[in-house]
Amino acid sequence: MNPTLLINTLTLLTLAILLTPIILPILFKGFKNTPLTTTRTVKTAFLVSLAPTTVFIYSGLESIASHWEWKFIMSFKIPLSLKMDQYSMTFLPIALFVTWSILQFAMWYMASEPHLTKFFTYLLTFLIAMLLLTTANNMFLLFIGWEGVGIMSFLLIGWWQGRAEANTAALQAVIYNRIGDIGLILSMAWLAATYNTWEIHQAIHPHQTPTLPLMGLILAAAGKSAQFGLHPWLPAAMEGPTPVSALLHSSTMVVAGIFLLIRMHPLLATNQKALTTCLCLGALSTLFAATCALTQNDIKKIIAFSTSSQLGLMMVAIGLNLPQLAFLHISTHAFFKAMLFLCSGSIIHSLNGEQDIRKMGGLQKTLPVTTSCLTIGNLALMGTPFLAGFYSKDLIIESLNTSYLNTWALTLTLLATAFTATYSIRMTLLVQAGQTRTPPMTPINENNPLITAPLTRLALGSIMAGMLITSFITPTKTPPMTMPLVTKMAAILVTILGVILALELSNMTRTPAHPKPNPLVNFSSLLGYFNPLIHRFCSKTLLEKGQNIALHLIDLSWLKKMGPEGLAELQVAASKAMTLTHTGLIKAYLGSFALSILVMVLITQTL
Amino acid sequence: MAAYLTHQQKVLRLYKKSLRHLESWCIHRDKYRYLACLLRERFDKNKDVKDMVKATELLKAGQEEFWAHQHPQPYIFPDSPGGTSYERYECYKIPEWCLDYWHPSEKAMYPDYFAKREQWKKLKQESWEKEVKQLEEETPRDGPKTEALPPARKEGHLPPLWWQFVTRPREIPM
Amino acid sequence: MAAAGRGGVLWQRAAARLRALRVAAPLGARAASGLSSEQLPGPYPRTPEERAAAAKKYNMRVEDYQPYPDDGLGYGDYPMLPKRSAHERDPWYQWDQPDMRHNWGEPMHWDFDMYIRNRFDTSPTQIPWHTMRKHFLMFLSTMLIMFGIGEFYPSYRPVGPKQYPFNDLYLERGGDPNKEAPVVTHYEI
Repeated sequence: MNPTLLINTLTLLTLAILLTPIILPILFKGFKNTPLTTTRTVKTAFLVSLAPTTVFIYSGLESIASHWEWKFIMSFKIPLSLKMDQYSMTFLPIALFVTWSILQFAMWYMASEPHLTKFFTYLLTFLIAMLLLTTANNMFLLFIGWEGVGIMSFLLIGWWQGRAEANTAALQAVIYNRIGDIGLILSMAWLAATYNTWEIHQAIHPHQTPTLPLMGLILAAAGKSAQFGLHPWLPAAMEGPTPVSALLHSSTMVVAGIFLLIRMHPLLATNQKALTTCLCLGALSTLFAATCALTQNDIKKIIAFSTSSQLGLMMVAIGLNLPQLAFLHISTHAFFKAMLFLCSGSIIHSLNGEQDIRKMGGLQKTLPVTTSCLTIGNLALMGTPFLAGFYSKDLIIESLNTSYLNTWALTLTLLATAFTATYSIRMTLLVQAGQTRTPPMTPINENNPLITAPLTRLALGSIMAGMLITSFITPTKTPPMTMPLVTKMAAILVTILGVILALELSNMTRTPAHPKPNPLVNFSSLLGYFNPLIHRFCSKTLLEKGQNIALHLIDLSWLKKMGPEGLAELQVAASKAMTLTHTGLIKAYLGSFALSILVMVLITQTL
Repeated sequence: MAAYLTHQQKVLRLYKKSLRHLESWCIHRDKYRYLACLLRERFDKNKDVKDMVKATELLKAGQEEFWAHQHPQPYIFPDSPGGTSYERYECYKIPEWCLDYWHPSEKAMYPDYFAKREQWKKLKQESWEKEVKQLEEETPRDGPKTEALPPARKEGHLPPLWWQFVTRPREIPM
Repeated sequence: MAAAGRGGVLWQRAAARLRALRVAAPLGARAASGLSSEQLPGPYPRTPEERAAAAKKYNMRVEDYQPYPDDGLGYGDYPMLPKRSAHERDPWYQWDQPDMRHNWGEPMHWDFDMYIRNRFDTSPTQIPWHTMRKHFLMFLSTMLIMFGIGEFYPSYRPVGPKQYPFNDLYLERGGDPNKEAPVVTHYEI
């Protein structure tokens, strides 16, 4: 059988399976979704999706399937085209695997929640939008997926809509993403105007791409992937339930921005300015987020900032002109970050909603499976050799060390790598080691297979994924082969430095000195003052201006200047001006008569 | 709103807040206990100050010191304001009178509950007049001095506005 | 949620005013087109009696009542309330509307929807505003300047030109086979 046809059919089959829980209830009256059916659908889709991936790996055939056309404008074609290349074919099973595990976990975590089926349907809709985004070969289709994940992110962050903080977080997510969308829409407009197509594979510039549309793309990616400047929504998004954080805000949705840059890479590769921007932005984000993570006390916030930091690292890889490495990091990161979130969810649920790591400690004995998985996840995140994170992170840092690039970006990235180790070790020590600081009465329990099965499955993924993916994907660019020992060891050396720093700091917490706030700690724990400054200043100016314009300026201009009062004033002014000429002198009247007749005659003559 | 606090209440609140922030600073319990003892000693040193001017100055100095030394991320209990599950289930709290608008067929699914509810409503109807009367009697001429509701004064009476306390929604949905 | 809450507040205040004015309307009735002229702010109060009446209308004490300046922007007798957001209100108090932190019949700020809990926060910050701004700008400018410097002094691994045998592949690179190839030595002894 034709392998291309096989890949296309099987991929479509995977997507079709995912659509069943949404379409079937509409078609059949008696059909009811339950969380279990949704989970099983995703599981089935995962198993089916392994088939096209296997075919793809063994045949190495990339294909584009165009199915149908939107006919908006006659000369501008927008087909429904899907791209089956190494990125989408690798991401499809990974996303489905992670989602399957997370949905299974959510059945336990959200069990007491009313409207559970709605929650699962939201997650499923999100997954469909995300897969649409990754498989899309057309900017229009990609845009639908892009906005779809944005909307689902809003709905899921604000899941507990009675909570003001959750509403604020959902609003932040939407607003920051809209800022990014400005860039995406501008780039799409430029693409349509320049190439007269939105097909990604056709939009390859023969010469250097202009910088401005690429900046639009980078803005879009920065908004979606929470790069510095547009980052505050990601830690705020932790207001959502933990499965949402695990699925959307760590493993899938936030990588959409990076994924966009990977897809559009042929455009990006020729423009050095855009690449440097990516590199610097990524380095700044990775360091800033890692710095913030150092002093956070909320377990979910720590993991959120570490996600933000890893996204910065992916952006650095894009800036190095190595999109494949960025994609590799997306793939491995999905496993261990989803698992870290699920572990934190298990801990939070066991401690009755407690998220503060100061009130944990000693959980190793009471939650053995969860804490073991947490350790595996942390080690994989730190880039411990031969765990998943190692394969991508180490390669990125090796390439950084051997490339020609901005020194400061390199320094920041290495510093952030050390910080990654520091905050991971800090979290480990405070959560699972030492004496317990939990309240005496807590419903600690992890005997449910709905907890252990997803965790162990993802733990297996975090151990194996790196090796599996690197052994099946052929690198498109030659990785650096020869380098001095120090360069080769750089990633591990800075990580060890970070570990030593963390151990030293944790020793320091034992000294009975009176704690005092200092500017550095304040800067780090108050998120670099970015949130209070920007959120207060911008919302104040915008809302005040908006109120004034809407209520006062428009009212004033219509009523006073243009509307009834303005007309009346105009009339009064005109009649006053006319009154001046009404002097009662017959000579003046006759003069004006004669003058106007003269003017009329002259006009008619000349015409 | 709350009335003015006495000096004692202000000092106690400052002490409690300082302890909470100290607990946020010191993760380990032993260190926290040691520093808490020192803090207690500082408060105890001035407990016998009778001069109100001096006491107020001390309080002000203490509050300023607290503000300068407070923790940037103090520990907040999950269900306290600012905590991670505060107001989480607010969206599921539906007022009790919504049950009146259930369809009879729906009500018929829980016959025991609705039969009891009718009796409660009857009790509410009966006691309403008495509650209003008690409130009117106890309210001073120039408006109420406090927002706290009085307890039931007479045998067989129910406390004023008891209905809204009895029928308030659950904190966590089932 | 917020919008519905605000609508509810507006409606409650309107209802309170309806009752105060003894308008003969059945309970729960609402005009077809927003607020009627009676429910809109009245003219700017000039005499003490008018002030007292306006304060009473807005359920305020005369001492607290301070209308917006009469500058023709249409505020009328609406009270000028302090610009404090709902974040600053006591979360432990049992508000009539807990999500808005607002009591029934309490006057609302003219820009009430700007000061709700998920908009503008006016609560005092732990670090003074100018310190925060200074530190943040210091961080940002350091980063930008260092990126600029890093651009001038890039980091790279020095690499020599590639060395090939046979006089740097003279023939293979299309050299003239009839001529003697220039001798290339990559070493020094």
